[in-house]
Amino acid sequence: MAAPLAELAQQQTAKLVLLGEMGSGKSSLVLRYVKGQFFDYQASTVGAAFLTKTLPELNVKFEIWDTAGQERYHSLAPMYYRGAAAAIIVYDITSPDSFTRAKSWVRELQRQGNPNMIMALAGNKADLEGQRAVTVEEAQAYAAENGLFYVETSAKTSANVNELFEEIARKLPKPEAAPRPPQGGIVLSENQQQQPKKSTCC
Amino acid sequence: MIRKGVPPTLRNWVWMETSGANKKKAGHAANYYSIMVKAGEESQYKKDIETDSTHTFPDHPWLSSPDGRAALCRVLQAYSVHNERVGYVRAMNTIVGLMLVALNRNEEAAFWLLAALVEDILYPGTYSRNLEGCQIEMRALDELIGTKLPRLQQHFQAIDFDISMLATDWYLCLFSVSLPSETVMRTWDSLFYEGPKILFRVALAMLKIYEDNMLRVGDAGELLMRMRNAAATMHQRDVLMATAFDHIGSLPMATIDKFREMKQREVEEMLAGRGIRADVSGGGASSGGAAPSVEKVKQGLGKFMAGMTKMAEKVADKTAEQLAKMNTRDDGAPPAASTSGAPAAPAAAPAPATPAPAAPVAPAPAAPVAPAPAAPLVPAVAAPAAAEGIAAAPAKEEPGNPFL
Repeated sequence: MAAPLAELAQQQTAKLVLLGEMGSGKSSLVLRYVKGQFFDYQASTVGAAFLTKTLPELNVKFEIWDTAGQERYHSLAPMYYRGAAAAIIVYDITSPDSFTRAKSWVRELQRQGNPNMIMALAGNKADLEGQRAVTVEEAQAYAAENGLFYVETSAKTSANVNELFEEIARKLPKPEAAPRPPQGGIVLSENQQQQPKKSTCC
Repeated sequence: MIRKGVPPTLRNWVWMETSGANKKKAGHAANYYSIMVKAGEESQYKKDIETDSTHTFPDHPWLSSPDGRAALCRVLQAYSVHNERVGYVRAMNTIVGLMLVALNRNEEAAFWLLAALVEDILYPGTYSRNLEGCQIEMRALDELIGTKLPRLQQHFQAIDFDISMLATDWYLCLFSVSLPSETVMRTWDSLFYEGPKILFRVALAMLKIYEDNMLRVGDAGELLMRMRNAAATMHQRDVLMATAFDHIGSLPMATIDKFREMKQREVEEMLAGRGIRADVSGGGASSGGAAPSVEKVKQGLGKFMAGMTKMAEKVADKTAEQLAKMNTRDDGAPPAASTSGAPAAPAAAPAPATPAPAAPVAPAPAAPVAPAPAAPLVPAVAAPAAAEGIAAAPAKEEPGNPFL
């Protein structure tokens, strides 16, 4: 139902979730990465946004879930990180509160997430060096203790954004030889042939 | 008649009356709103609200201007102190933003309408600490999908698609960020008058209209993306409302309440399992929550009220124009051309409002949208499923739906 089988055999689909405090720049990071765009003001995320991006050179297709950061939405998060192969926990380097929040996300994922999940810690808004409130050393030490991949990013200048996602793609466990089982139980057969193959988007 | 849409110039009056907002307002001192605005300046949510105000319809000229943002912040901050129990939840910004545009920037009307929604109309706890009410609504909706659109529910389960991924925005933002604004207006006309059942009707109508398209998508994320896209271009508001009212079948509030009750326990258990204590105690404002600050802010109120009046006078009747700016295309034009399936729709079809990453889940081509069926206020029971709990006939067998 999804991509042609030959393609599936080669391409690995990886679910990736972004978590972090409201306003830390999760959506901006995703938008920068997927579309190469940055807006000072973009519509805020309610529920979760979904985007995909394929890295042909690494044969990985990311299915990216960008969650809402407001505390109130916390209880919806498990639906999005369940089954995720990777998570990016984002904080804002100018906000110590957002770093604290990032740590609590890490703890939650360690407790409830997939044990093989690749976790990255992204200190975003690195362009605001003058307002820095979380030091590189502090974040680095925390990341090392918890086995996280750590990088400082700027969605605004795009610094390290591609690097962050590409590094995650490289760290993904290599897919087994068997292709993914076809998805979707019920398929209308009648019109199927007229339907363009849809999952090759992006 | 309300189901056919309230004329834009009457919306302020009609919404205030039908929602009970006027009654609510009358139950408070005449200057209550301005007192709350003043008190709201100390709101604990001030920072969140200011942040979100910069992300609320950022393409709208007035809402993205300093004036528009300030107005939005005033209403939301005022509400967050009026109803301290609920405070501010992201999603309210989109509701109030669209209200301000629809109601000629009448901040006080938006305040009372929000109050009527949160405190009286929507399911209690919709905006509570863990959005329990909304989570209950999502599960109730899932049950209704099982009743009304069983094939779709099976498909969702097969591809691990949770309806809340799609419909959380619908229920929290009352479709304000999901449907074209003129379609939202129609939904709200009915919502204020008929209550939260309308959210279920419109949600089920969206799912019914695109059921066949969704059945062909085998990936949860893609399905979400395509449905969001389809919703964003749902300009055929007469079709949507006709489907919601005439083709969903019977939807008694008692059925919804039965599901809600069932699901409340589930949600409480789920949250308890994660060490969170559920709070479904309702959206009601804590009475007198802001009382201590009242005396303090009384001075200067007269000046403010004068300012309000002046502002109201200044704002010409630009509602329709403002609304038109929310969407690049926002007329009741024929359905957009299908780019993802089936033969082409009429050539005159409008372009989608916003360029989107994926082709829309286009509905099957349809004849240009006719005015809503002749009989006004057709009771829902007139639809194929006459009795409660009986699934609506499969879409294809259902006459009268221009999509099918």
